[in-house]
Amino acid sequence: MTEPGAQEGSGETPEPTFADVLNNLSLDSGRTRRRRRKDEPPAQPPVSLFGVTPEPPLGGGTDEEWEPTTAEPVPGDDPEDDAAAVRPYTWTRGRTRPAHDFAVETLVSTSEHGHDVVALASVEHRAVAELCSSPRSVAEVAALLPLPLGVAKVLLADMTDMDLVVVHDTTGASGDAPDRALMERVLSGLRRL
Amino acid sequence: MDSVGSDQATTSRRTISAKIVVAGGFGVGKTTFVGSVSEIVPLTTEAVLTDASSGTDDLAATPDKTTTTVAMDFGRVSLDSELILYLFGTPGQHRFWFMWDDLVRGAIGAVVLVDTRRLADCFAAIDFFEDRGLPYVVGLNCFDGVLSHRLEDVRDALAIDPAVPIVPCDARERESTKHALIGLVEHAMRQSEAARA
Repeated sequence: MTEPGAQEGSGETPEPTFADVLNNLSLDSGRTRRRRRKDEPPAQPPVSLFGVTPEPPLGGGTDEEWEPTTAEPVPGDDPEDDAAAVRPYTWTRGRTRPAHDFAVETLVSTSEHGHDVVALASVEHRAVAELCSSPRSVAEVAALLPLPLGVAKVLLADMTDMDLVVVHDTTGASGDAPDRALMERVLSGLRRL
Repeated sequence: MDSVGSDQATTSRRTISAKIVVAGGFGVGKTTFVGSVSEIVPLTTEAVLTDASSGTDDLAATPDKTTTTVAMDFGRVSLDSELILYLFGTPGQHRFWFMWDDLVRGAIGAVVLVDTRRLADCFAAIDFFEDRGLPYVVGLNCFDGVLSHRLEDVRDALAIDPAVPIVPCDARERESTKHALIGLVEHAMRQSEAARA
C-alpha cells in the first residue's frame, strides 16, 4: 500500500506536497517497521513551517490581555494596532521569517536598555521585556504572551536588533550536537533532582 | 515590572538551556511524562485537539482521552542556577512530522514513549531519530504498573539496535521519568564517545 508522504521516505517516493502531508492521516496500523539500510538515501528534508505558520493567536481573551490597562499614549505606537484581528502580523509587518535563527529553547532575557521603560515604544515590547526579566525560552515567550511561534520569533529578532533583549548562547541554533560538558552538567543536574 | 539588579542580570545572562525531545504516538502519555518532572505546568504554543477529532484519530485503546496537543508542548526543569532543561513533546499526529526537524535541532536526544498495545504508533519517531542520528531511548510506558511484554520481545518487534536502551516507565511518576531521562543522557554520552573513537 502506498502512503503519500509516509515517513519511511524510500527513494522512489515522490516528494510530498503540503496537501499530501495534511491528507496523510493514516495511523499506520498493521504496518511493520523495516530497518533503513545505511546506504539508502535519507528522506527528503521536510518542509519547515515553524517560521511561517499563519495561525491566529490562541486563547479567546488574547486581545483583551494585550490592551494596556493604564494606557498612556506612546510615541511611535502604530494606530493600526487597533485592528485586533490582524494584529500579530501587523507587528511583524507581514514578515514571517525572523532575521535571527532562534531555536525553540533559545533563551532570551531583557537587557539593561530593555529595562528602561522609555525605550519600550510598544505594548508588545513591554510585555516581552516584563516576561524576560528572568531568562525565558523562545517557546515560553510564544506560549505565555500568547503568540504563534513564528510571530514571537520575529518580535524577538526585532527586539534583539534594538538591544532590548539579549540572546543567550545556545547549542541548538548552531545545529551542533550538545558538547560533552553540557551533557555532563545535565546528567548531574537530573541526578540531583 | 520586577526590577533586576545588575549582578543578577549578569548572572542570568550566563544561563544556558538544553533540550530533550519526547516523542511517541497519539495518546501515549507525552504530556504526562513532561508534566511529571516539569517545574511549570506544561505549556503549548499551538492548539489543543479535543474529542472533535475522534473521527480521525484512533482513540480505541485510550477511550478516556478526550484532548491532546496537536502542536508541541513543553516543560521546564532548572537543573542548576544557570542551566535550564526544556522537554519538548513532538506533535502527536504524524501529519505534523515536518515540524520535528526544528524540534530536534541541538537536542541531547529523545525519549520515544511506546504503548505496547499500539506498537506501530512509534515507528515514525524511531525511523526519524535513526535517520537523523539522534540518540534515543525507548520508554516502555507501563500503564497501571503492568508491563505486558518482555523487553526483548519489544526490541525484536521494534527492530532496534541492541545498544538502544529500553526503559520501563510510568509517565505519571516523577522518579520514573527522571530515570528515563538519565538513561537517555547516559546513552547520548556513550554514543558521542563511540562516534569520536
